[in-house]
Amino acid sequence: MLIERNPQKYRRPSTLARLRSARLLYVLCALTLVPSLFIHPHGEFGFTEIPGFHALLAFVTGCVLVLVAIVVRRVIIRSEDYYEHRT
Amino acid sequence: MPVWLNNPGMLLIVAGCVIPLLPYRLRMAVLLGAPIASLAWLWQIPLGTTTEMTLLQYTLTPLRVDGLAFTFGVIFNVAAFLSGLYMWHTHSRLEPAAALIYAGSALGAVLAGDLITLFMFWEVTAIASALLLVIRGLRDAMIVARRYLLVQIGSGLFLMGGAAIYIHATGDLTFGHLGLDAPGSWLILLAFGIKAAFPLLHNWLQDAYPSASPTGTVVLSAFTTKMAIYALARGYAGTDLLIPIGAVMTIFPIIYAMLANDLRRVLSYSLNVQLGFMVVAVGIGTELAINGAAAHAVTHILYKALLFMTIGAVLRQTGHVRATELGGLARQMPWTAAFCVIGAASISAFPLMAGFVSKSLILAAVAHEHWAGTWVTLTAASAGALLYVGIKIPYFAFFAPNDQIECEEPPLNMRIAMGLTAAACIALGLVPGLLYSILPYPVDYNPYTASHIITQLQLLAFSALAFWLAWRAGLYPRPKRAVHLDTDWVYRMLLPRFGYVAERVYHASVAKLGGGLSSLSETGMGRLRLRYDARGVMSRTWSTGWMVLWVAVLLAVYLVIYY
Repeated sequence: MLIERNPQKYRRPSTLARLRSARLLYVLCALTLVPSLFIHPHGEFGFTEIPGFHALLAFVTGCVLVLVAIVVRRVIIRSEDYYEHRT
Repeated sequence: MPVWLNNPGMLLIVAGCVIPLLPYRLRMAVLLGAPIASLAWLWQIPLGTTTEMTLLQYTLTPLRVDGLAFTFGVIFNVAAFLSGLYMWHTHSRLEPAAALIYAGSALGAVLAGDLITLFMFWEVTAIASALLLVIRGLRDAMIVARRYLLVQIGSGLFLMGGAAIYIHATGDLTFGHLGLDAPGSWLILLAFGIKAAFPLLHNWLQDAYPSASPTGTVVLSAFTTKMAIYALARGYAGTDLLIPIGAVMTIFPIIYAMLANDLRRVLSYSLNVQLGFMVVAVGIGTELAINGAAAHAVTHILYKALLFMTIGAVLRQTGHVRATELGGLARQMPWTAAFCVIGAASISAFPLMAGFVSKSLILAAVAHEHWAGTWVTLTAASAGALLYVGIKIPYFAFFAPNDQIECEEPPLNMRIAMGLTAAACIALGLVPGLLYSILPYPVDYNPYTASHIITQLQLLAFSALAFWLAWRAGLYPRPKRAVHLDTDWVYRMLLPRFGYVAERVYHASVAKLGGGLSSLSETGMGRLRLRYDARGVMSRTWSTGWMVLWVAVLLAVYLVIYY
């Protein structure tokens, strides 16, 4: 049901709150890196023993996926009613 | 009891056939009672049991319970129960019936011991699931259902062809390990591949699932694809070809999931990614890998059903399902939002959640067989899960800025169904032994080692960081009301257009050639008419005087000739 405004039910998070949660994320990222300095995972592959390998892989994957998605969208995007009038 | 009825799957099918005739309360009792009874029945059948019956000159095996079939049978019954609870409030007579028949036929396919029984249940799943789409009665859903049925029946035809070749060549009906060298096995692999949504064969899934009713999608998401995974694990375990196929499946739908606007379509693409993990595991084919595939099917059915349930609840309560229209529902639907976050955490493989304990089995199996590239691909895909579904779904449905929607929590039965599914996700994550105890092979694996938890947390934290930085830079693709082309373009645009052009060419050529032909025939007809028409020379009415004169002339000619 669409209504005019519903401010008491939804409050947009303030810029301060957003910054604070972003800072929390940076701290969390840093915290996850700390133990890998002490614990050496003995995986099946040599490269997994590099400290922070998973962090690097995740970050690079995220960036690459976003960039690829931007490029792919340019190629495959069509208007919403693309399939409605096809001939 | 006849042998063909002595099967937990047939119990569900019979219950589904009876359901439309019953009054509401009894209907719902059957809807929930049948999966429980079927699960209890399956549970007490000792592993290794088979039953046999003769049909024409073939000996069929309608029931075969072993480790692999047992795992899938258990989770299919659980899924049937949970989705039944989720649709408790609907007063439709046909939807519960279709759901039970669909679940029962999937269960029957999993328990089938021979190719002919498998084929029959394979086709029933296709028809029953298409019924779930048709029931909604919308024009678009009907068109989608037609496309869906075409693909599903096509898969059945390939299975029938492959099975016929195989049975003819070997004389053996048993559905066991086939491999790629068996006669007809490429056709059977194609049939399984269509239902398992292999790359380029996948698009029926993202086409159909977002078009079903909110309750129907939950049912659809559980059975067809996982039945195909079971069939692959049975027939093609250890087939190396499946490893690259699965690896591609884990990556390319991610892009589409990031772009899609319809949240149920996002979930359908992410379903495809998760199937990729299972296909890779089947391709590896060791005991650990098959355990991983089965375990991932179990947890994946649960958390994907949970996500579809929460988004279905949003759709039912607000009438919207697209990211561009949703947002800001967390305060109005706090329970649903919480369940959605649990499902999202589970699919992103947070430690203590179901996805973590099953995905790590697959990754361990891949690492153990030293497939380094595949391992990196799967790890990257599991990091990407946060980007395309783990953050995207809860954010756009519940937390994105939007003060335009007012709604309430969904009905109690929906909340209970979501709550039970969420509890199952957490329980399997906390006590992996529960999950590992129903797997096909004994498990000697502990997902909760310090290094594994740490690396997984790194994976999650840094992919969240990538998401956040991309979002703040405005690079993360915002949802748009648009169509993103996928392989369905071939049969929704290319082929119809091709057909249109062919039709035009046909008409034009008929007009040209036909014009020439008809003018030719017209001249001929005109000449004939000149002589034989009502007023033509040969059928003119002659006066008696003329006739007498002609007779006289003829006689004169005879006289002259013979004289």
